[in-house]
Amino acid sequence: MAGEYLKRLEEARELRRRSADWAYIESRPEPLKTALKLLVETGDLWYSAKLSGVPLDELNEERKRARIPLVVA
Amino acid sequence: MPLAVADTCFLINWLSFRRWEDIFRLFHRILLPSIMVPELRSQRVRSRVEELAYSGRLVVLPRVDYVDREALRIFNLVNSTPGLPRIDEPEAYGLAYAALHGIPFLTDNASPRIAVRSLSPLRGVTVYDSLDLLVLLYRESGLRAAVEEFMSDTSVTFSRERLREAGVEL
Repeated sequence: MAGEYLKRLEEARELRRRSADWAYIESRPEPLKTALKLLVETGDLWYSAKLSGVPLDELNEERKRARIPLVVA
Repeated sequence: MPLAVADTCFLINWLSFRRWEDIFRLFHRILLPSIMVPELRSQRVRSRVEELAYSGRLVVLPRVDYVDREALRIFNLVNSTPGLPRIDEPEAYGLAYAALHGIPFLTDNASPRIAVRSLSPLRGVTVYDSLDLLVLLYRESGLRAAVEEFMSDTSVTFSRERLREAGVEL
């Protein structure tokens, strides 16, 4: 069960990497840039916001501009 | 189902959906743990949450010891189990509240969903993600259109497997 989901989560990570607008991400100031990169890798909005100090809903709006999908696996 | 407890990420995205009010066809009230409220900073989201609270459709849950204890147990159990995705503190709290009170937990994160299917102490706890709610709301008609609208409004995407499980072809 967990193994199957881990495969889905890896596919989700690949989708986020492919979909992301990297030029936009690189253009953002810190700590937003790091928060967006963390979000691409983890897919975890709360975790990325918490670690970077960017407010959760602000990061959510930024991730839409950066074309990072939240993937429900 | 009169009540459900939601996590912040789920709520933020669901409130961006053009048909967000339909969630109240499924649940009389949504419960939001107070530990998640400080995470809501944007005026748009805060205004909508305040409006829902004022109308009695959203209730902010106080932080209480017995839920904290269960949340810590779940936090340790999930995070110490090899192969399971990490669970965060607010999710563990929401899942603990749901488990203790027999109500669904609404989240789009994978960890609680996988945990209730993989760990015997959590079996029987109901976790719904956005696609589950879309199916519950629109399975009789217009499910595909609703899923497309939801994805467009929220930039939330469903994996091929989740769509297949739900019987949705895009």
